Amino acid sequence: MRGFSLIFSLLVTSFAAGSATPVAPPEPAPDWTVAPTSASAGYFSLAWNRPTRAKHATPENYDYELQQCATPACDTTTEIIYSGPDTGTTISGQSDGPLYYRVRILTASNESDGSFGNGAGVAVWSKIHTVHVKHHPIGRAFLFLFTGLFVFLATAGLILFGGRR
Amino acid sequence: MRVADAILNPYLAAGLLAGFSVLWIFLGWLWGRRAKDDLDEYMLAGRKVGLALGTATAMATWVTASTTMVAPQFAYELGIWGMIGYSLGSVGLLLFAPMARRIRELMPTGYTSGDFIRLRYGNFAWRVFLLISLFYALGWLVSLGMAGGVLIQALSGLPYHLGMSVILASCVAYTLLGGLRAVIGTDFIQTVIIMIGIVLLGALTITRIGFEEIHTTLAADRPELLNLMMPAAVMFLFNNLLFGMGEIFHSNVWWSRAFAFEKGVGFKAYVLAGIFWTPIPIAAGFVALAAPSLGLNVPRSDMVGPMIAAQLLGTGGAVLVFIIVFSALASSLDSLLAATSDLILEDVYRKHFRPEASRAHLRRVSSFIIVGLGIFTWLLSLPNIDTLGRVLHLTGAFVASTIWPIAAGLYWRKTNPIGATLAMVFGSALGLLAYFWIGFYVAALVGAAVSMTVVIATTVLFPREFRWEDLKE
Repeated sequence: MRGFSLIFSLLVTSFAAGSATPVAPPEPAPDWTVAPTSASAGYFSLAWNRPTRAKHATPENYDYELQQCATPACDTTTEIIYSGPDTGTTISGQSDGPLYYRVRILTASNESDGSFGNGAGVAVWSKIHTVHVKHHPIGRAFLFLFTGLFVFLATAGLILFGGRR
Repeated sequence: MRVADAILNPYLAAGLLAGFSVLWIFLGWLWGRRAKDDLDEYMLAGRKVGLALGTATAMATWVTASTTMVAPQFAYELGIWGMIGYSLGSVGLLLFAPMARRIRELMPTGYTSGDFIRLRYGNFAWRVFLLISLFYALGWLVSLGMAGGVLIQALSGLPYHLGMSVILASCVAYTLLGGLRAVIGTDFIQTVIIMIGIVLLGALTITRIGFEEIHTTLAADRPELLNLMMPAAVMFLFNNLLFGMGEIFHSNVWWSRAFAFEKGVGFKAYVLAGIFWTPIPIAAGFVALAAPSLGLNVPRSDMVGPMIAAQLLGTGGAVLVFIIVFSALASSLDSLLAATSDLILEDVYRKHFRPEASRAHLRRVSSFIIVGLGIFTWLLSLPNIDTLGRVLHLTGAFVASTIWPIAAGLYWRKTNPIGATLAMVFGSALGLLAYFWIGFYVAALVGAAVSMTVVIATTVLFPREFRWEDLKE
């Protein structure tokens, strides 16, 4: 219903001005961050927001679309990994290698059902963020594992047998 | 962060919040009437807590917001070892069982863990210990306060600050009214709720989504979560065990219970609590692994547990999680408020400023301390700075550095005060460096290893005889 009202008001304004096609103002690319950019435990968080520098009023309805790309330029295979109103995500369990992400804003389009679409309300993409997943060397992991095991056994021994002295 | 679909109606969430707050406060008032003017009754429940209540309070206190919200966070971030490593926190309870018996033997009239360090190692070590212990208590209190706000926001969309404030206020109110007797009584009820709720939640999750579906999706999208050789998870395993040991060994939450339990109860209560607690983080953490199968977006990893339960089980699941986590939060917050106020009252106020204060005066001051702690926690929880797991693990280096000074102090006559102090200082410092240089998952391990090395070396090189009778003040 809101989409319909928006379209109607835009049409009236356009006819009055004598122009042919209503065009929604383009949404600026979202501001966003990634932490950490070098993930040694295979997980990281991405956070984004509609930028405060946007010149026009905040649309009544808008969503974000997050894409993961296969290349640094996002020019070949892409996958939408989230589409909705949340302003962040945490991704975990990733193997070694670079990962590329970009995000954009989707506003209500001029589709008849009022749904979000890829029409005039789609914003430009954000800059592409690269996350480098590089797990700790397994040798370092085992060093900590055995150090921990040793400290634990020594502490347990002290408590269980220390009182007998 | 905005969450797409709040499952719980905000009015229902507000009703649950108000209803349980009123229930806990009423029980605090009811059980606290006997402790109105008696300091021993208020601080240590008359030193007559039996096995059933003793086991329940130890277990409920250890089932914290961390267990119900951080265990899923670690499963989501570190996979299989994340949830299993978290369950190794029970080792701290099991090893504290013989220590509780020894504490009761050596210090039959003691009040706090600070009393032990002061009598065993002298004033300087005692003050270093107090700084560590109070820093940890605040870290834990803030993580609990934050957990309340995050939970309410994740489930109902109600503002973070509202949930955090109401949960803190209700816990302060009933701890204030009832002292340790109310804390232990409510812990018993909260334990029953938590155990039934978690079993129900685990069973419902498995029947609704199934192991195979979860495994297939993880293998495709999050392969490292299933990798038993994932380096960070391997490093985390003993870190969490040692963090749990450090938390329990040094904290007055556990020492106050050792003093409050009837003679002979401490050992059995801590062993039983450790056994019953072990499967809870696995059950709570397991649900987080279902997130990729559900295609659920997880804005913050510490929200994953409640979000999945709500997503999978609808409004009923959201209500269930709400009650479980609220009970877990309350059972830990009240214990921590009571034990930390005891520590401040005895070790800071009385020993440093008013050694001649009457017991009635101390009883009144303890109420002010509880309220002050509540307000301080509220202020620190307002910014909601980081995830719960990382706030809590920041304290890991500090508490793990106390394991050896305490254990050696209880069992070895020859450990000396300077060695114990250096162990806490160097253990904390190097553990903190490891936290920032490597990751939160090694801070406690490094702190404990350094502390152990210093204690053993200084005990062997500079032994100093101690008389156990000097602990009976």
